[in-house]
Amino acid sequence: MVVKPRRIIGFALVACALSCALLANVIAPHDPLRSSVAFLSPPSAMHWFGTDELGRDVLSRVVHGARTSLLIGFGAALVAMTIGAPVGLIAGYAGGKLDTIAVMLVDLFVSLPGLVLALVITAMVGPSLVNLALVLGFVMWPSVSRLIRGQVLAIREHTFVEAARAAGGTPAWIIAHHIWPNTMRVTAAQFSVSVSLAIFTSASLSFLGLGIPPPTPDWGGMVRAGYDFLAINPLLSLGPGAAVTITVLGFYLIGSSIE
Amino acid sequence: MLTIVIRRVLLAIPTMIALTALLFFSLTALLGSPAAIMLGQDASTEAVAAINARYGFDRPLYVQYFAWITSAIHGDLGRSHVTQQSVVSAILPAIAVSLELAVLAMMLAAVTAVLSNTLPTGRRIVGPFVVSANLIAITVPNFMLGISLIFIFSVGLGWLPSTGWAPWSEGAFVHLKHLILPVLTLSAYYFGLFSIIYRAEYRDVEKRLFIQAARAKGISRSRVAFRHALPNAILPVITLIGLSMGQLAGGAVVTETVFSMPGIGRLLVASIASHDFPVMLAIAMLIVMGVVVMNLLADIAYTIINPQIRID
Amino acid sequence: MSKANSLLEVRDLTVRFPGRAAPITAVKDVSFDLAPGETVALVGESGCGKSTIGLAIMGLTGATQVAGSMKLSFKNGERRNLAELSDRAMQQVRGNEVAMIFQEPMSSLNPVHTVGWQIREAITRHQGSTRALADDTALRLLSQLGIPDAGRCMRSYPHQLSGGMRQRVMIAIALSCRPSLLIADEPTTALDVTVQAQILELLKSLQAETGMAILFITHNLGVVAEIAQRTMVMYAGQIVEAGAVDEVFHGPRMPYTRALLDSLPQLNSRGDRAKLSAIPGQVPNPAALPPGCAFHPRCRYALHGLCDRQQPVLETSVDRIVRCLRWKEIAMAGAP
Repeated sequence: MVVKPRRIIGFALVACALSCALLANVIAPHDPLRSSVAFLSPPSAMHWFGTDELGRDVLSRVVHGARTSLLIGFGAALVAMTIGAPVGLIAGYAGGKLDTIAVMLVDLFVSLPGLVLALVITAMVGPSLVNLALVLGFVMWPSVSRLIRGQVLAIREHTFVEAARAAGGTPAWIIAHHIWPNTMRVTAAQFSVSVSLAIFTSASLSFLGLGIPPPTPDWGGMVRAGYDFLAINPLLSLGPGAAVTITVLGFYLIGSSIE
Repeated sequence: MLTIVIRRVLLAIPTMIALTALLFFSLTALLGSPAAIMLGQDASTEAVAAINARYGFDRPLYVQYFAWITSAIHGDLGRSHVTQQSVVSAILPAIAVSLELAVLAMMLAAVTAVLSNTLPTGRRIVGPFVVSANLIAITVPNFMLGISLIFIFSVGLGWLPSTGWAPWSEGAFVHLKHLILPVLTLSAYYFGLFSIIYRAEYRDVEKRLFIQAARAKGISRSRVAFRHALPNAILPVITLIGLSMGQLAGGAVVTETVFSMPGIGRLLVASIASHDFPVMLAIAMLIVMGVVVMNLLADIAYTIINPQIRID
Repeated sequence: MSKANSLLEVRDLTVRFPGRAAPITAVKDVSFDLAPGETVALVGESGCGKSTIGLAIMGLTGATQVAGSMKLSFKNGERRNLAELSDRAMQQVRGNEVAMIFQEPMSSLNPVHTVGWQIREAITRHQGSTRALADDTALRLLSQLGIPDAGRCMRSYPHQLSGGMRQRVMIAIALSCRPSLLIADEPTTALDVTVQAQILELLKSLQAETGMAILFITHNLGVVAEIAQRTMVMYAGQIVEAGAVDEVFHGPRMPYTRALLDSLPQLNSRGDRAKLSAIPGQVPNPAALPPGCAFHPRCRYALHGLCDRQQPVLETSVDRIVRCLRWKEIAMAGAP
């Protein structure tokens, strides 16, 4: 693996987020759900980011929020890949009418505003961890399929594919053994970028009120709640906001460094 | 060229019909009974029947669809369930707000992206900064950027207001002052996007032979950059602007919420929260139509600007 | 040793590009003179550095180190070293004193501007004419170059014209300000053979009319014979042989030149059994040149212990230059 500053920074940021998610109980100084009388207190030695309107430690809530965000992020990316990759592979390899129709549909879908789409659907099905992952995955799969299809088109014309065809390989076999392995690089990059986008969008949805219901710490929701108290303690909003930014940036950097 | 344009327009019409129909049916199908949505799950059957009769939800779906389309063409989009006002009267001013925000943000993003990646001296010295700025621009969530800007410029320095909308009646200066922060916030992402695409394209164009041939004529570096390279590199950005405007057809939901702007995005969120089906439906349909139209315009723009397609 | 009436005097021109480990020398210690009105062909395979010389004269080599001097006699009588001029100053030279035409006529013209716009730009740049005057000049030039309906051509975009027409447009642009030197970098390589002949004729007649010198860069020996009086053969960034075209072609002294000439397909070859004799081996990578004479690994006269150790220097006799350690012996032994 070539050393690129982009990749290193990306991994560092993602490592931060992952450790928060996995080791939340260890890292966070306080119980994120425990309210206290000391509400809206400013940053202090005991509460590095201060406390929110229910007296809960903001830093601990930010650390615990990583878990929800990463779960949704990975879940959505998985869904997007699971649907998008096969569609892209098949459409790209098959070509012809099947491909043309697929391209038309995907292009149309991709030009719709993703956030609005996710917003409407989530509003209807209700925001839960699983639902959010599914909805965001559903919104993201078309652009994944488009990318994979592009790769397939590039690979399809290579001689080793022709050779495989001449040797009597069935389309399914060729796709599985020749085409798919060569799209790995793009797929990996796209996965990381999808995680980034999913966390970005789910944070926006939470900000708009469609996130995981309280009291679970949820970055977007925290930003929204903290907005009212911006003048008193900006960290209520900016803390979780920065967490979102760092995590999104980290995954994006990794993804773009693979290309 | 005219034939191409006409063909695209003609193709757009069935696309629009198909998409709006699809939207209509899926919304109503997913929602189950719109009446139940509007009244709550445990509404009495009489109340549900009343709603159904009033809004015509008991008719077959395709009848409802055609009825909606025909009324829409006549400028009637129904009445809001919550406010009882005509949907059109609620939507039109909201569209104006969102449109102004979107257009200003796009223009700012496009001009900054193109200029910062074209100016000859700028590119060598400022280059790494621009690349980093691009990365940050496309990953920072709108709400984070917006709130940060409010914190710095409104709460902290007190230079700018924290809301994004003041009607024109309060004076152009006041109106524009309120728009500064939201426009900056919204344009950030698009600046990053346009910059990345344009920069890559510009790099490719710079390597092409006609650039060297132009310099061989003795033309200054900046003239080569702006009159020779830019017109070639900007083509994908034009299309991208069109597509991005389509993406903003639903309004800039997050930005409008952060800055409390009475735009279409915020109206949509509100109508979802208040289960106001007629408004939701109308806005969703408008979004779909807006996307199709903007895609069409982007297509046409590309055809017109690129002489290789425009002529024969 | 500068000729009294030389238009361009190049001395010890060396061009280095930044390489991965160390700078790569694309052109090494090249020296030559160009007299006004003469056509000199710069010949060699791809990668030998001939195009780089053309770009170096124009100051268009980009971020590279250029050493040596290139003294040009300007139209106003001044004589200046192009290597010392800033980019700004060179902008006055390009298109005006020295012009360049390139290999791919399609790619050399900007696709989003009309042909007329592009010709006008060259004219107004150096002569500051009004649009009407510039149009006039352009139309006259195009007709002179044999383009029917010059007006329509002016209003067209490059993709609407044929390859031959585009190359004529390129020539029109290059000649619009009456440069005293035209650098032609493989101008006919991308054209059909018939069009090729037309363009060469065109260039010859234009030269007779304007008295400009032409530095004709090519890898095609047939074209050289057609158009040039003198020729310089390049290999691995250096000039290995130079002289009058007749002399060099009929009595090549450097084995590389000999091999190049031998590899030309002969029309009267002995039946279809005669093979094309290609030069064995490949052009060396400029970043990893062989020790001693750069050509020795492919040379059938290479003497182990001599040619792989010592770098041959340029030997000049009257108007004849050779860079080979054994050329005298080879010449005396007669051509095998």
